[in-house]
Amino acid sequence: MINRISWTERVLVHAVLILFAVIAVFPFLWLLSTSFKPAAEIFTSEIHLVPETFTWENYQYLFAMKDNLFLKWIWNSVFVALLTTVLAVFLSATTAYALSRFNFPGKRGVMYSFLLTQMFPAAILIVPLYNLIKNLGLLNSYTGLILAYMTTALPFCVWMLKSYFDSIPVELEEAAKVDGLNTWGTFYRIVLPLALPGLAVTGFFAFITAWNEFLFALTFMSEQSAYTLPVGLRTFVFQFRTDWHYMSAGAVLITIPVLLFFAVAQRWLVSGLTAGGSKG
Amino acid sequence: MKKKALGLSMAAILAMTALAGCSGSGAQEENAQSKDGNVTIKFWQTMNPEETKTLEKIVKEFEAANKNIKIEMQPVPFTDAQNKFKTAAQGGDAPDVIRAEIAWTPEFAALGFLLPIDDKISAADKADYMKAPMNYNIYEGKTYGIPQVTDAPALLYNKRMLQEAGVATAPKTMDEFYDAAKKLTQPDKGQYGYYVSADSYFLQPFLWAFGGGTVTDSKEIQITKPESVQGLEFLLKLKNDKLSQANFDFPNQYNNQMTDFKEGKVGMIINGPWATADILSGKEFKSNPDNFGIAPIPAGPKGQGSPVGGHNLVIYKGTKHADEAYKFIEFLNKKENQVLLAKENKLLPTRQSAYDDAALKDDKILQGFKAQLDKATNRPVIPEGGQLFTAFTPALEAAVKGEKTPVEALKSVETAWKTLLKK
Amino acid sequence: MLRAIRRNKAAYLFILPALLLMLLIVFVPLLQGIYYSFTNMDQYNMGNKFVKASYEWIGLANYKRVLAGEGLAEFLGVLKQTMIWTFTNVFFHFILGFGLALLLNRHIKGRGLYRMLLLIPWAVPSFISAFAWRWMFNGEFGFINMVLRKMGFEGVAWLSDPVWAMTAVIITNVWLGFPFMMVTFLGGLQSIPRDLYEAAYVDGASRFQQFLHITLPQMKSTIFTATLLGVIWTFNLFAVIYLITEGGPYNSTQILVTFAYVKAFNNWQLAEATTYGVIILSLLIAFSFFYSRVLKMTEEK
Repeated sequence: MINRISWTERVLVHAVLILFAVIAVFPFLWLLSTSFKPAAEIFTSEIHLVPETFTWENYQYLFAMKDNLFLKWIWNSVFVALLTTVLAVFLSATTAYALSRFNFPGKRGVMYSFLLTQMFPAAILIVPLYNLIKNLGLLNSYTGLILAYMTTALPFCVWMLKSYFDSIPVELEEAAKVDGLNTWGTFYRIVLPLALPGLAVTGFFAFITAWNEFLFALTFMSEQSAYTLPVGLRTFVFQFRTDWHYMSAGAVLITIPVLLFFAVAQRWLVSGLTAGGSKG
Repeated sequence: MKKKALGLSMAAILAMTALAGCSGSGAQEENAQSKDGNVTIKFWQTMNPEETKTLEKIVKEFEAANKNIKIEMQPVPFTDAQNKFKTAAQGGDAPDVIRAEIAWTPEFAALGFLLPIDDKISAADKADYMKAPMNYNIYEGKTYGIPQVTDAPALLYNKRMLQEAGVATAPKTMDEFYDAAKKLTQPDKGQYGYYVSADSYFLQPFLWAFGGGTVTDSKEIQITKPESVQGLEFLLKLKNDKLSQANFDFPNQYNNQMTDFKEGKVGMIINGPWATADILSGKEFKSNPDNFGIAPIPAGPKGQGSPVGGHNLVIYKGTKHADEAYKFIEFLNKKENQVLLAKENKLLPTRQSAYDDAALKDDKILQGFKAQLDKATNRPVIPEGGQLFTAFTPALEAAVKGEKTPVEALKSVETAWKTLLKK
Repeated sequence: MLRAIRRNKAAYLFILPALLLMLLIVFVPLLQGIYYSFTNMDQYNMGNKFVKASYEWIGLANYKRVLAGEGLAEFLGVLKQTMIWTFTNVFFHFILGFGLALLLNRHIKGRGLYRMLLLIPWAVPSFISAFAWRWMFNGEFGFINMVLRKMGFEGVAWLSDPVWAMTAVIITNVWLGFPFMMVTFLGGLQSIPRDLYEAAYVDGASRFQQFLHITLPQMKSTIFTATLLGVIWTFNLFAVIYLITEGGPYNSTQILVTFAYVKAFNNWQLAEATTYGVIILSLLIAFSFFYSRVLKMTEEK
């Protein structure tokens, strides 16, 4: 910002951010600490944030699982989430652009029909959904999962990108058209670079949707080696006990790729307008 | 021009459909019977990692003895296995064998998903299986599975605490139980008598002790009988007379009960054999396992009981290899293998003969639970059996919190069950 | 009609792939679901490979039972809880998300680090963090009560008292949900052309005026989308409640979707579950209609 920020204000801003950062991180710190505790130390009447006996065993267990299961789960999750992200961003960008720039019959209908799909709780339709995926021959395949995640990610991505596109001045595109660029060209060369923050947000959203989803993955994947991480971690919950030590180690590991992904994606979260503006 | 946009969109769709070919790393083979006459049996199981290790040993042995049969074992999260199997089976795509909790078995059978095995099970086996666990496999006169392991909650107590409180032996009647709880309750030492659980599963023994019950096999609802009300009132009296824990936390009650017991804050709890390994790792019992006592849940004025649970091995009706599948579960359930699971993992065998095995004869824990099993009660063998607790537990919570009187609470259970059982 | 299509060919081509996908994966099951709500379908009559389907059309009977008959009192109770749950959550999501986004939009030291840390609640799979919170809310051994006791207060029966249990699940979900709003608004704030602020600064507008006359109007569409979707998702979010309280104690944290979910998964009472589903759908359609109207009205002013 161009406005001057006073010293006291700066301290205040940091104080607020630190407070919320602590709240945001605390449960995770707990998982982190649990992941280094032996099983017997987890449920006791006294709470220790720092493990009394420090152990790497829980992590070792995960990586020593039979058939490299844990690595397979990571791979499945990464693959499904990345592909969902790419496809969702691509499809929602074209769709949102059309919705933002063109006026055509049925536009509002299309917009709201995307929303409609989010209003009916899909979880209660898991049986018809299973049959659909089965009839498409997509059980136990990444494609089935990716398709299912797209349906959750797309409505948000389309709506969100539409509002980002809406905020980009049309004049830029008109100038491009005068310069002889066609619809696709203006979209690809002019609009997309300007909407990078929006694309980053939607991409991030799509990634997390796919990364954390549980119910579809559980229902559509029947082979243990095809599980995604959340379903895999769920195998540590048993009838009468939960293996918290393994689960928290898994939870810590599951979070790291997300943070990495975000570290990469957040470069585009910085204003696309200034970036685009400085270039041209 | 616009064709390029279309082209790209089409490319995206094509890419997605192309992925259909590249399926998950565990690609499924449609044809389980390969050319050389080998057969693959898919088996979904829900055991924990230590139990799975024992199971794997047994499976390896089976494969060595039956070179033409390959077992493909899939661990499935227990909490989700029931719905996962139902979903797969109604789509015609279920595994050949599944380890089904006892309440699921009549449900799967009623849905038509299970293969009757009356023509396969031997008379000797039938006679050897204990009656209560076997019962859960019989639905409308047909046998749909064999019991793999069984369990029944018993009265678990801390011997040292009982002794110090002046209770010589574990209580045998509900009156003695109340007295023991009273003697054990010593607020100055931070200890109390009994952990009152609002999980309705653990209310059942009290209902039976006073002559009440839940639902019968013929779907008669007994929950509002005066005897059932008496059972609930007895449990609530322990709480009202402050002989129980002071804090009630329903979602965390199982873990809290275990923590209190392991740390010597509560003298008696009711819990099943699955809890023993955890208990023995606790402060009170780690160096002194003999401090851990097991006794049958006390008898009331009109009866005595504990809900029999466990898991069965059942075969999916759509299997192409019924004979091999049965051969496999028969092998899993051999006496030696049941003994092995009991020895390694403290899982209670379902065969009478297994308890007489030399390896288990002197196992105090197993024999302690066996004594409870002899005085245990079948839960209703009805398809809705597993769903009874959905409405039951909230009502019990309301009664424990004093939001509802015992009669009101049990009436609301009756109403919900009438809908559930379509009465 | 044909002409309209030809004239807007580009637009339709841009939309087609996404629409086809939604049509295939969502609309078909959705229509099926609506149809089920007019039948008596459950797991025993829905039919499968071995048993023929035998469910019947029963018209509005399901709706009558929920909305007019014996189920009404229960329905209204759950509806009230759903409203409390949804609006409290979205309110705090919005306030925290927007506030933090504004702070993070400044040039301050460690911005990247703050952003990462504040994002963690979103990055942990929600079923694990729900378990972790249940643990922290433990009335006997939980961290929160331990802190309260150390500060000299009495512990709170977080999960076995109706009001506290609702508070607990809302706290959990606010924690889970604010990063999403934060990131969304951060993206929105970054898209606002900078020259607007520069011009305002030259004109001598105060920071508050800039916020009111530039930031808010520029963010309007993003705010509308994020809150609308926030309401829809929160309304339909079953995982947090289901994993922490299971709707308890005695159904006091039950919301419409957990109700529907329990019905769908216990005995697969699909007819009843989808009836609840259609009711939820209608309520949310009504809400988004109303909400977009309100937005339009403020625009016209």
